[in-house]
Order: sequence, then structure tokens, then C-alpha cells
Amino acid sequence: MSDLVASSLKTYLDNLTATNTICAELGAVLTFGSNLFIGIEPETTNCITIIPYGGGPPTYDGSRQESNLQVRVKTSAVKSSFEVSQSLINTLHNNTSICAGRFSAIQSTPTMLSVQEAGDNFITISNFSIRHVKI
Amino acid sequence: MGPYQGVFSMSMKLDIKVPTFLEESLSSAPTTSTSGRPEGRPGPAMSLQTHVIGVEEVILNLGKLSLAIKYKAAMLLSAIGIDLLSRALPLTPVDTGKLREEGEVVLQFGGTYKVVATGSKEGNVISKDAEVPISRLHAASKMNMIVQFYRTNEFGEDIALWAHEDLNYSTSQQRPHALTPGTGPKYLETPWINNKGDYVGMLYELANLRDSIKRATKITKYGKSKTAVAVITLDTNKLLEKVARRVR
Repeated sequence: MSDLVASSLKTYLDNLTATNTICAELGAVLTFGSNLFIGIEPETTNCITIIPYGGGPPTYDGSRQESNLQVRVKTSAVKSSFEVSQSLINTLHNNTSICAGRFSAIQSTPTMLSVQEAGDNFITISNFSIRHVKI
Repeated sequence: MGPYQGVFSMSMKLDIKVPTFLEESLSSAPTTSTSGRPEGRPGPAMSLQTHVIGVEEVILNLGKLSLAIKYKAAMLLSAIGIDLLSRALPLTPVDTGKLREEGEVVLQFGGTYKVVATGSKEGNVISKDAEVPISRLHAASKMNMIVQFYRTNEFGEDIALWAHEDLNYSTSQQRPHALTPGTGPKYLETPWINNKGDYVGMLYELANLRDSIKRATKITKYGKSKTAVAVITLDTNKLLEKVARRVR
């Protein structure tokens, strides 16, 4: 479920136009394999990585599932890292057009995770829970 | 806190005043007194007094029940916090063990807090003195239970946050990562997600005080037949003891 949701989010972000706030803050259109990744964050700067992680257990009849995702934003400027992450939270929270579930941001603001490559890259993260009810 | 002994009865006094016009008409009536009153000043036409004893005692008893509910809430929240910490510690990355040792369960209430339990390097929970100060509970209008880890390194970096949130898999030896199999990021969030349904279920137990009240209550009857008065003794210590035993 988490993997499918991650793929759905990848497709959603991949289709965003340059005028979308996420792309505008990042300064580039998102392209999978170039600046948009799933699972493992590459050495590339100015990129977004979607990492699924364990959500709650599904109900016994499988009618309700809960997936979790972390979205990492790595940029060369700390301000843009925060702004891209905040745009992601604002865009994805309560969004039902990405997949069959409803995206719900776990935090209202992004979290600064670490500084890499001797201060050249700044990583912020935001976590999402996706509630999916099978009809 | 000594045992509380209250009389479970109510007191209510009802006085009916005679209207002025009636008193005047009575004063103009022929003065034939049969009750020893001075003639020309008759007493009230009707006097009804009902005594229901012990309203204040009932209110005090309700106060004791309020305390028992707060005490039970504190015990339940502490139990949930300890259970969550015990599930989180084995998943917490361990190197020097300081991150695990900084894991703690904190109960906030009545403008104060109490550390209920802490973690150990081996991944066990060390319970602190579980006794909640009753005097503080009286003033508590709300309670919070917090399970937290706090650890920074010599550079001021938040190790607890980093270890919890860095999901990026890395084989680089230059970047710190969890060394022990079975440990890793989301060490606190994962057990919370997996067990929050059970914790909500535990909180339903809060409303179940009937058995504890029954076991801490003693009813003594005084008088005979129609004039009998039932005296209810609610032992606070016994009530809190029963509540605590039920939570355990």
C-alpha cells in the first residue's frame, strides 16, 4: 500500500507545472529520476525524495489501510528547503486527488533534519499519513 | 489522607410564609386562642418544615469521586506511557546507550510534572516512584502524558530527532546510522501507530469506577423502620487503592 501511494505521489508531483508553488519554490519542474526520487536520496542537490515507512495495521477485512510517507527536500539554500517543504505540506494536506486515500500532514511545518556535505546542502522533511478506505 | 466518613443524606428546609393580607384578616378575627399565644396576634396559618440531611456531605462525596477519576486517569496515562516506552526502547538505535537512557515518560498535571519512567541502555524500562501527589491532583484540570527522547551530541545536533527521522538508507560509514539490527528510525512513532488503538481502549476503562466504589463503600443504618438513616462511609484511601489495583 505504501509503495503504491508513493508511486501515486511521484506521478502527481511529476505532472505539476512550473507555475505550481512547489516547482516555483524549487526553481525547477519535477522529473522522476532527475530531481524526484523514491526510496533513496541520491547525491544530487535540489531534489525531492519520497520514502514510504510503516503505517498502522490494516483492518482484518482489509477495508481500511493507513500508509505513511516521508518527503525529503534537499536544496543548496536553507530557505528554499523550508519553503519547498512547506509548499508540499500546504498542497498535499487533505488532498484526495493523488490516490484513493486522503493525504494528511502529520506536522504543520517541516523539520530541519541535517546539513550535509560541509554545509552545502540542507535537508528538511515532512511526514504524511494516508488514510485509505476501500469502498 | 484519612478515611472520609460522610452521612449520605440531604438537608432541605422549607418555610412557608403567611401572606400579609391573610395575617391582617386573621388579626381581625375573633380572638379565641388555643395555643397559648397572646390574643390578637395569631401565628402563621400553616407551617411545614422538611429536613433533608447531608447535602454538604453528598457534595464532599462527589469530590472524592472526582479525585478518584483524576487518580485513575493519571494511573492509566502512566501505564500507557510505560507500555509505549517499553516497545520503543528495543527499536531505538544504540551505540553508547545515552539515547535510550534519555527516553522518559512524563506525566503533566496541576501545574507540575512527574517523571514516571526512564529507559536503560539495555532497552528496559526503569519505573520511578509511581505515587502521584494527591494534593496536586485536586488542582489538576487537565493531564498530559509525554513519551520523549532527548539527546544532543557535542556539536549541539539533535541526535534524538535525527535518529528518529532520517529514513534515508545509507551504507556510507561517514554518515552515522543504526548499527544494531532491529533498531532504526521511527523508533517511537512505529510502536505508537501500531498500538494507539489499544491505548484508546485502555482509556475507556476510566469510566469504570463502579466496582472500586462498591468495594470502598460501607453502608451503616441507624434507627428503625421509617426513621432509619443510611450512613455511607467512603474510604478515600481504599477507593484510590482499588482504582490503582484495577489499572495494574
